[in-house]
Amino acid sequence: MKKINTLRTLAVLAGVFALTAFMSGCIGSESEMVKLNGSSTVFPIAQRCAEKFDQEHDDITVEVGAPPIGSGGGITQLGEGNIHIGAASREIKQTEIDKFPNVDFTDNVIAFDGVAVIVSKDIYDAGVTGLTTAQLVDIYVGTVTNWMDVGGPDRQININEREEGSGTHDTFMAAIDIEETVANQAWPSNAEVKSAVSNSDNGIGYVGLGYVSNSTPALKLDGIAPSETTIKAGTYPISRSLHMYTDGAPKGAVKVFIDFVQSSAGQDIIADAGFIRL
Amino acid sequence: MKKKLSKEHIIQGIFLLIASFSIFIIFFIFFFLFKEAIPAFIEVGGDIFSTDFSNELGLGGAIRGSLIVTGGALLIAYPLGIGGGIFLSEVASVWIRRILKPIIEVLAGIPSVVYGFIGAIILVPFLTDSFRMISGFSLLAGGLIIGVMTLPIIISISDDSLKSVPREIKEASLALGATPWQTIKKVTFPAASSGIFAGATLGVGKALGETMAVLMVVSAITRAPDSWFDIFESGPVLTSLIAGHWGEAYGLKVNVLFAAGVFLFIIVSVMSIISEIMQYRIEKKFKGG
Repeated sequence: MKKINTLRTLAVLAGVFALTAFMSGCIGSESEMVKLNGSSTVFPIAQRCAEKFDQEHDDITVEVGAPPIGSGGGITQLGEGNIHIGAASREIKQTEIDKFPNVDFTDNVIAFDGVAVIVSKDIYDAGVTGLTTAQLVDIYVGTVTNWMDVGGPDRQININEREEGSGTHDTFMAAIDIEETVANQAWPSNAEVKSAVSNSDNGIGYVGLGYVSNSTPALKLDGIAPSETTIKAGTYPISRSLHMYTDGAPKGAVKVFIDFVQSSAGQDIIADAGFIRL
Repeated sequence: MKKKLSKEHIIQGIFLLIASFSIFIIFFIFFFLFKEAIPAFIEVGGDIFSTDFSNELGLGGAIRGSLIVTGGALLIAYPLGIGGGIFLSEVASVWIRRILKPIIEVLAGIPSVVYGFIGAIILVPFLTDSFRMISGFSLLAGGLIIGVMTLPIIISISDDSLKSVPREIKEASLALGATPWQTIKKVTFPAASSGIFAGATLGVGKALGETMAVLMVVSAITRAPDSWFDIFESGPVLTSLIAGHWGEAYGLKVNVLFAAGVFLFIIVSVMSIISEIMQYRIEKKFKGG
């Protein structure tokens, strides 16, 4: 008798579950979900584009994952099929392509960005307004440890970097061609690098162009200031493109969203966020 | 009669289900943590204790960093917390106690991100200036912040432990002509000491798992300082290493981060076990005697 009761309870529970699943399936089909995550550099763009996009499209919802999990994270999640768009601030690596043989990673360039080298306002005001790439390398590998050696005040250099694996870190390291740094701190986001540099009087760091401000002025590298023109032309030493990777050519809701990002409306948002139009 | 009994059984069953569900979750976490960490131990092998995370995926630097930060926190939290507890329970007048106790309890409820924020904005620049450091973001800052975060918990527990010492023992000491300070030093404090240290250890064990504040004042750097004494430098800490790297990690690195979780789990468990043993001892001492 008892056993039958248990069975009946189980049957009811199973029914409830099935019903719930069925209902959530119905709700899901009303508005198609596009999931995006990845680079913290692309994050502000993706978020603003998604907001604007959702206002105009009732049938598609773009979910920008927060907090951003970084370029590598976005590509991994895309490879594992958990998201539809992997946002990256660097090009995909061969190791990543090899890791997911069944995924056809397709590159959609959405904007350009330069990694700007920023310093504390004190340092900039004291006369360090530019460095050569060689000097930048010397600072990050520890050959030069005092601002005096690059034309600044007699102060130790406080070196900030992004944490390993971030797209900004990879772009920076690849551009100046070094393997390891002697950084004093490493930060999980651009905003934290900016705040660490602006709150010190001896700091250097690197961020996406969108994070340059009056309290954290950008240096000229080899005589060239980071700007839209120099980055798009590739004359500025540390420039890169921003990507939204998809599995195969974008189609359906994913295509509608990426088309929007690449449209003039989307590009306005990108320019507004401090990045550079296509 | 029979119907009542079965109703009773159903209720019992429901509670059993709820209880076993929470136990199931804990076991699931244990199982998953260790399962994911095993490949790291197998593939990285002995190098797991190396201080080079970037190339060898060693966690030695992060373990050392965690121990340095915890050690610093203990050095601050123990004397100040226990002193504060003694003051509250034995020295302070009733009205001072009525004001201080709730304030300290509120302090314990402040979210760690707030401590981290204050640490990054106020403590770090202060350290930079005071010690003429290149940068105040350091293991020292982490130890100080965790010490302060743990302080209210240790004060509360010390106060409770001291208050729970039987009144007769204190009165007997005073009746024998001991001064109030002698009574505190020789009678009340020793009687409460196991409870105090048990609580303090538990508090620091909890603070050790604290991530946000550490990440904000130490940063997520992977390069470990050269020695145990480089507290003025930033370095990896188990919690901030996991938080700073999980998003970008894939492959073996993910397993290594789980291994970092295992080490954290071991350190915190050891601290909890020590505090349990201490608690057991004090109970035995007083109930037995």
